[in-house]
Amino acid sequence: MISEKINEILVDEFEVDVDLIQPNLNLKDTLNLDSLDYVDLVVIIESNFGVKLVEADFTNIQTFQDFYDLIKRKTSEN
Amino acid sequence: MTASPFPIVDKLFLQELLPHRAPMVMIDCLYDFNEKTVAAGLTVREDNIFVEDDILLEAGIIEHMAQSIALHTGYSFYIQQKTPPIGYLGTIKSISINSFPRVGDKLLTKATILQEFMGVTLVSIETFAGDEQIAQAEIKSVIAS
Repeated sequence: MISEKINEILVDEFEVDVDLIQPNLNLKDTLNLDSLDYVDLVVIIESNFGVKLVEADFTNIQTFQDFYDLIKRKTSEN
Repeated sequence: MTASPFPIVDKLFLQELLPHRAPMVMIDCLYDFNEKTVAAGLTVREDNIFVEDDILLEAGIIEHMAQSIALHTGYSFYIQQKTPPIGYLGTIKSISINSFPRVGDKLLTKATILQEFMGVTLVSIETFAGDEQIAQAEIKSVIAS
């Protein structure tokens, strides 16, 4: 499952408890992302899934589920 | 065929590329540049403000690394005939310093841009004194808006 893989790398990169990551929760708040963290998110997604995220991709990202859907869509486009 | 401009050692020109001013300038050579990389140099001198007991301190190494990133930005804007922006060291994601250079050592720092996103640039950077890698880091820099 792509969501499990995403959770795994988010836990590793942002050092959060895996139990805190729930599809309906807010990505930014849960991971405590600040403006400096997004570049790390882009790097780990590109290195693990081979997709490049751009600023516009984050416009409608609120929850983890939104993020899973984005990565699924991007990987299917590749 | 155009001759390579490198290395560039003109101090006044290099200062134009950096927001820093003496005695904070920690770059004295631009060895190479392309869109994703820069190679910058510094000869450690006795009067360097980060030198104590003939050793360049940790803060001096980090400052030299950060200015190497600023030099990449500055030269990039220079060749586009634009005024270089002010940048900040956002955060040091990781760093290891293996040894401290001494007065007289010539430092070579190679920086590679790994990713740029939302005004934040993630850079992998290594500093050498001769053949010895004395430090390596991942640094995030931020361009002032």
